Amino acid sequence: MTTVETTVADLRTEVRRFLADELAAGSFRPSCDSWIQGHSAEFSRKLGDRGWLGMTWPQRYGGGGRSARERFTVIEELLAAGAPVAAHWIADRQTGPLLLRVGTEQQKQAFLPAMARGRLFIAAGMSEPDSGSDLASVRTRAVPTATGWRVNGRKVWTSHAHRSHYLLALVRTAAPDGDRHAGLSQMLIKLDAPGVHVRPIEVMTGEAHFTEVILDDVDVPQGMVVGAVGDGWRGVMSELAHERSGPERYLSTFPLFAELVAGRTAHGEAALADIGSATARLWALRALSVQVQDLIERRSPTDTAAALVKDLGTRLEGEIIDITRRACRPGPDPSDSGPLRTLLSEAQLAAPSFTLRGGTNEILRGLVARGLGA
Amino acid sequence: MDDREMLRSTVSAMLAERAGSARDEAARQGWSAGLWQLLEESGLTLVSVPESAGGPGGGLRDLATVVQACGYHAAPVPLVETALLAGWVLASAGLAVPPGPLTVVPPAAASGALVPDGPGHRLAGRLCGVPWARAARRILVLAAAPGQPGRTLHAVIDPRDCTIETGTNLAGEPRDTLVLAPSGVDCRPLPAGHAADPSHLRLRGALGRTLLMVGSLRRVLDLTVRYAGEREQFGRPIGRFQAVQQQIAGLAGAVEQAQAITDLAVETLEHDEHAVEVVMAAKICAGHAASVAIAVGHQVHGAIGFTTEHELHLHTCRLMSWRDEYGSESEWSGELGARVTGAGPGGLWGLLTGRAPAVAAR
Ligand SMILES: Cc1cc2nc3c(=O)[nH]c(=O)nc-3n(C[C@H](O)[C@H](O)[C@H](O)COP(=O)(O)OP(=O)(O)OC[C@H]3O[C@@H](n4cnc5c(N)ncnc54)[C@H](O)[C@@H]3O)c2cc1C
Repeated sequence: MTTVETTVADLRTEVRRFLADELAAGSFRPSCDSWIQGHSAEFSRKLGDRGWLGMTWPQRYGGGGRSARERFTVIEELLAAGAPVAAHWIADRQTGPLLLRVGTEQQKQAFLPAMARGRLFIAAGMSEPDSGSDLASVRTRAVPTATGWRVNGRKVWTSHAHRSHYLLALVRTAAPDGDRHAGLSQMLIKLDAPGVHVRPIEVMTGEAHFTEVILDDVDVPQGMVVGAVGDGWRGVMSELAHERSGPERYLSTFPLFAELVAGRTAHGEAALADIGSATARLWALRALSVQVQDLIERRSPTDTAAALVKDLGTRLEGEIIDITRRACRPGPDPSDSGPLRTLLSEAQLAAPSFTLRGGTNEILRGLVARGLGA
Repeated sequence: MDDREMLRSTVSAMLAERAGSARDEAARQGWSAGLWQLLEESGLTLVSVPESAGGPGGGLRDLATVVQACGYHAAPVPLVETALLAGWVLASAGLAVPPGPLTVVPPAAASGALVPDGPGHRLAGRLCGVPWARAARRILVLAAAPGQPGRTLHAVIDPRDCTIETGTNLAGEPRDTLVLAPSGVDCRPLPAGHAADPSHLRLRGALGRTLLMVGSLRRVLDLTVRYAGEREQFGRPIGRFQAVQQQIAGLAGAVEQAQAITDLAVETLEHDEHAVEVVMAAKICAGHAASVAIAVGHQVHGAIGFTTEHELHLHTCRLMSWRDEYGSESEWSGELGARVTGAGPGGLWGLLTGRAPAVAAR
């Protein structure tokens, strides 16, 4: 065991004990893809109360002042257990760090403490109907007013906007003028502000976890622009390393894998080989992900490595489903509600999204090849 | 246009026209009685069942055409269960085929519910995962008679005599549980001397799912090609990007492969009811193609394909379910592998080129 592992060992034990207690109390059912689908404001508040949100942020902003490795330990334990962490996920993973990097002192004081307590949730408003992979083509426009900005446009696939407090929206504040990445800005928009209409969209899993957000003459105060006006593209790109290299990119189907290997079924040789192979690759991915976290902490360039983690990780998440299908012959009852079958159904229905959200794997592979100088 | 092409386009037009209302009805009740009635009035619900047994006649290839069209349009009706399974069993055993939608209890569930009763057997308890049970007028059960090789027991159940607990597969298609009356259900032996036994039923079930899958696969391919030509990013249709082209080509290959072996399976089975291996091969290929179609279809469609507002999920969720029903590709692969390795020298090549394997290993 490395020294870092030793220093986080107590924390790990503490998180596991907490999760065991919550499970025993029936506060959640372990589920796949829980960082997108498992929305529980109450669970997020509990984590905030324990100091497990905003862990690396400075204490003066309500953070924990702890190391990236400590945060990594907490989130990987939560994900592996399939705990409902979606409510605070965007705020904790990317909006908080973004505000710390480029936010104003006022913004930091206004947002970070509530985010760290699990009381303030943020939705990520990047995609639009005509702007998915080609994010720089967003058309939502903000024009200056006497007190700030007036915003008009339409965001889609915005996860949990109907359950969040603010939308961090990427908008056009000036014409591209030759450089299509110029003239973009990010601003925090209150989701209950006049002119904001949020429509939940039902997805294949049967839930409505993402939404369409219509912005119709929404007034946004000047102080809500995050980073310099016109510098939004850099802000978005800087979030991506955080967004792409974390354990949520290879643990979405871990609860299924854990149930498969839990020993309730006797496996044949082929299944054992499948399980061994997936174990080895999962182990390696975790090592790679840890390396990237360390690079992020040292502020070294990580875009290529982060994209690799996501590409490899999301594919492995899918493969775990295939392995499970091969290993456990379906019983006679398709509506059997045993944990393995429930997790398998859940994982199968969620899987199409793994290789899309946060940048499609095709886009990521292009990024990797270019990052390597190809 | 030959007769079969005419049949295909007639059925397709009918299903396409009714798709919206059938879907609404299925969202409420799990299936579409309206669509069923239309198909029944058009004489399409018992295709391939001989006139002597109450059907309109026609060959297996005609039925395959209708079933593939049902797959293409995700038609929420028990056509496979009625014509390909129950209709076939009853007709080949010389029994009358009752009117209305029919279904069959999957063989594995049936054998689990068999209990001795004097010299014979009864069905008791629960029958799980029965496709379309809530829609069926009659439910057929086949089970191997314990300790009597070659003997098949059967029962025809009126669902009004039991309780139905509703359940669904991943696509929301009814896969219900039948709770039998406390007195159970009498089983009678089928007259001997025909192919309708539980293992053939399982194989025909696999063929039915394969035919539906081939229709569905074709639909996913069509939707995906169309979307790739329409959706623009970075100022051009995404179908112009090599990374997208590569995926679509892979999907097309998987679909054509599944279609080719399925056509062969239908043609072979039409002449030889004991042609087992080619049906296994078809289910295996369709299962592999389903996985490709689910991945590529969704990848190319991006987030919009993940919503229930878009048609894609109707097909991908069915493919997820159908690839596992009546034996997954890995189960059938194991059985086919055992057969070819047990077939002795030349057995494999003989199988591929149309001769029956020397030994059929089980
Ligand atoms: C579950 C889920 C949650 C999401 N949550 C959010 C959220 O909270 N906030 C938010 O802003 N967005 C969210 N998204 C949207 C997500 O970021 C987009 O789906 C993603 O960026 C892809 O965009 P698109 O869906 O429009 O697909 P498109 O960009 O239209 O892509 C379609 C296909 O074309 C391919 N393609 C496009 N361009 C190229 C190219 N140049 N080269 C090769 N291939 C290409 C893509 O790889 C893909 O296969 C979410 C998506 C999902 C599925």
